[in-house]
Amino acid sequence: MVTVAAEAESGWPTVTGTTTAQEFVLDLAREIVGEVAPAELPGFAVLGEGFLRDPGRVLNSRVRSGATLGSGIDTQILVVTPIALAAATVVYEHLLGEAAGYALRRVARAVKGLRRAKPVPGEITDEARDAAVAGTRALVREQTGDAALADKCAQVVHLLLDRRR
Amino acid sequence: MTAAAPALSTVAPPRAPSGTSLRFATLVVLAVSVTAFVYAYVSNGGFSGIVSRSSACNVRANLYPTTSGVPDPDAGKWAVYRACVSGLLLPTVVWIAAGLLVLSTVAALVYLLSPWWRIRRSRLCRIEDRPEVWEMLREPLQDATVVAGLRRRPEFYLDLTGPRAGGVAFGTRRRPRVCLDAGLIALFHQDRAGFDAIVLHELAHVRTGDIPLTYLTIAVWRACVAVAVLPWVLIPLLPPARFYPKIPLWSHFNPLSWFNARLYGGVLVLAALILLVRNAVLRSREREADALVARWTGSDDPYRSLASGRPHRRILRWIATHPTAAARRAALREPASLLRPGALEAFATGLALQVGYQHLLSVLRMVGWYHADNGSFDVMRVVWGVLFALPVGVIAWRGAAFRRAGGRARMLFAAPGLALGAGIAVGDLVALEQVPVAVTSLGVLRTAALAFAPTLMLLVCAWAGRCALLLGPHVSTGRGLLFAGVLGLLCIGLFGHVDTYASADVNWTEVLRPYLDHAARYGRPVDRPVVQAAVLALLGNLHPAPPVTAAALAALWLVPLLLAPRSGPVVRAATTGAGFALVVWLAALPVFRLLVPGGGPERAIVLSAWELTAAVTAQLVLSAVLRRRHGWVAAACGTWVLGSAVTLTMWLAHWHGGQVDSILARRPLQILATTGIIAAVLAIAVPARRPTAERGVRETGSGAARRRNPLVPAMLVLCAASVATIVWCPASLSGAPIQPPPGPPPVMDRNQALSVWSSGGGSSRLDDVVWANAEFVEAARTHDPARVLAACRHQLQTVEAAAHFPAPPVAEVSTMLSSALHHLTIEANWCVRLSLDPAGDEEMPETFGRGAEHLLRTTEALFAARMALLKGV
Repeated sequence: MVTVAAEAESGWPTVTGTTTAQEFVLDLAREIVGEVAPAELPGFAVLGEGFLRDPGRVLNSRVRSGATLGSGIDTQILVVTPIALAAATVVYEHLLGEAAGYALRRVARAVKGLRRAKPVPGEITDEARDAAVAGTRALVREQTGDAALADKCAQVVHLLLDRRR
Repeated sequence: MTAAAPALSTVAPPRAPSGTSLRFATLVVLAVSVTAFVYAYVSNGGFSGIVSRSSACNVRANLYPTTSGVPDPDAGKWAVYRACVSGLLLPTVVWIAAGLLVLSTVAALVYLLSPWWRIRRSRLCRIEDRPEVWEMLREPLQDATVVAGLRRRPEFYLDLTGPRAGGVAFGTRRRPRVCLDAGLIALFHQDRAGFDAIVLHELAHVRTGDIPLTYLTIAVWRACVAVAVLPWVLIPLLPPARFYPKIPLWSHFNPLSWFNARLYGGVLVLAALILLVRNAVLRSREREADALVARWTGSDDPYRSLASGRPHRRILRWIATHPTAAARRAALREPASLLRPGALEAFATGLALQVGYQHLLSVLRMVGWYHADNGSFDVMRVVWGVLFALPVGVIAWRGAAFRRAGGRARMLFAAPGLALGAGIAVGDLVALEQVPVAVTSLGVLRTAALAFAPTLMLLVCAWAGRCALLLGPHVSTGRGLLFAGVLGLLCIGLFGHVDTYASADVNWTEVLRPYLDHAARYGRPVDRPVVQAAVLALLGNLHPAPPVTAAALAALWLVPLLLAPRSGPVVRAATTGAGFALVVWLAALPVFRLLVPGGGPERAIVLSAWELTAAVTAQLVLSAVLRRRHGWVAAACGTWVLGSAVTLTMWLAHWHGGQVDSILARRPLQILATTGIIAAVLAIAVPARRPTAERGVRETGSGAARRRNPLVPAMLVLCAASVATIVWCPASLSGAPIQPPPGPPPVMDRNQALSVWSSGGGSSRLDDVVWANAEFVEAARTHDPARVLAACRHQLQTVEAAAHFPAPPVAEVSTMLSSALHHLTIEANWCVRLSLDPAGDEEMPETFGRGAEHLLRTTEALFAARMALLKGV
């Protein structure tokens, strides 16, 4: 049984100048990362900002591999963060009843939609929570093929949403 | 900064030119030559335009191809032709200059704008603009800048969307920039050493000046594709430049057409080559940066903690822009491997230089400077020799540095030499100028000559490498400069006749073969092959300056002798061996005089041929013995000394009335210098015993104390005197001639001549007449006197213009055309008179219609000639 961790340590960079919807997604994603891969938290804020700017590039892990005069080492450090950001977006959509799919292109479009003044989810019903948890599991499994990671993320989302109720 | 003490940083590699320099120079040569060539052709209207203009000058000069391929000997015709062609000079030069200007402008724009574009496209932000990130990274980045030895910190950027542990260096020489991925921020907390290694890797690119080199490489590649390659592919599709404008456009893409395959295949091969060279530049910069990081961090695997363990995409290592992980680790473990001359880079260099040289020749020919009467051939031979001496020198220099740094590799010099020669041979075939040439027209001897080039270059590179080893660390001193000069002499002397490769088969059938047939008249049947072989050896070297070849061959053994610390034993062994061989050869002379019957000049030439054969045999035996006992240098030196002694002896033996009595006895060394080196090369197959003397030559100049031996300067004097015997040799005015009597003048090739006349303007004149005739027929149907009159007058004008054009070069076609024009003139005049006076009673000419009939026959003859040529291709 996974438990929700305490708030992330202060002192790490935070994202500023965001809409409330974006803040909801970033907060939820940060909590997922803090629970599933806390070592990635130092880079979260930077990548989170990048995710809001250009979700397609963050979600596409092949970008910039072997760039000219790049290091060419090609090691992905922030493995969970991009998927946590995508999962948080899907959860947000489920809570608003707008979820429409788990393809990266679809998620990227949803992230761009967050730039508009959209509402923060209000009361979280059991149905909405269960749908968001199922959506998280399906997204992570589809994008990573890792069933264990998908279950873990789903449990974390379940606990986080319960906590917000 | 967490980097360990820089244990490896004190290990400075030996000084040697970077492999990147060779690759970048290759890229620039290819891009410039391809652009110059393409624009020269564009200025002349493509291949069809070149053919038309050249043919027009042919027609004006009455200069047509011959059946044998030998050019028309009439100098007057050539003077008219060149004067005509030189009219193309200014427009062509302007076009080439414009093309190169556009190339350099586009390359400069791509280079200068690429940083701006990268920042904009990837939405990069400056780290200083992120106070929280900058606060965290400022000190580590400052420390890394100090470790990298940079006077000024580059601008650091952040890629907010990069989850990887990566970075990239970009920008310009004056304003370098380094971008770090968001993943690196996380890595900073997890693995500081890994973070430092990545940052140092990018700073190494800044330190070594990779940013301008690399991004210029990319800019040149992109500019070349945009400015030269695409126009080359598209120009033939434009109606004015198409060979056969009536043929549908899609047929130009028929891959089965030889011309199309060469046209598009050639340019694609060159574009692919430029791309491969570009990627090779990028890979080599990565390895150099890794080596620096290893030196700075003191670790032979600074990226150890960053190994992803995931399988990478299987990209061919030649195509990838980064070296494989295994190659990086190998380079880090053995930094000397960065100095090793690569076979692939040598191949690309050879190909690029040969293509560039061919394009340069083509351009010079188009502007009317490159022809036989102004010494341009000799100038370009020297250019070619110097051009190829450069990569040979770099291969030798880098290989020697690799060996001195402790590197061990088989075929260190031979493999790149072979690859360089193969590149030359392939480059000769894929040059864009060769597009209209079919494989079948290459000829056996030219193919053989192209196949021989790699072997010869292998030997030259192996020799140069050995000399570079003997030079040791003195390679970058005045002695090295002197060696570079000798290398140039060697390349000019051995490869200076490369331009004759293109016409090797014509040279054989039209020059050498008649000489050999003529030589077969001398002596008995048993003597004839001997005389022919001697004549072939004398004339076989097509180099226009045989003394240069002889001097180059002498350098092959003289330079190692001069560089070796203890060469006295080698010289003594060589001279002693040559002395014994001379005695044996002298003993054979009376036997030849006894066995060869007859008298006079014919007997003298047969005798001298047998003497030369005996000397060559003695060289073969001597080189085998010396190679086994004293090494290759002794073998080559011994055969030369023997050749020189034989020369003097033959002069004495054949001296008669103030001159020698045989033409073969005039310059024996011209033959024996070549055969001596061939014998020494063949003797490499003989296993050596590695005696003391040979070890003396093998030791490097750095380790062994040099002992001055008076014999070595004596050898230098002997060489100079020997080469002088080729320049200043006795006359042989009364000797039997080997030159055949002049044969009949070359016969004009009927089909080619008619084709040249057609494409040189004849065809368009005929077309005008045909169209005017058709217009007359059309006007006659309308019964409109005014229109008929206009048509008849137009026909008169076109016939008059056609009559003023030079007649076809073939008599029967000329007669037919003349008759056609005559009858058409009569008919047109009758038509004009009738149109002006419709009531007139002038009868229609009896021969009405004969003009059109003869015109048709003329056109058929021209068409048949062109079809015959096409079938031949």
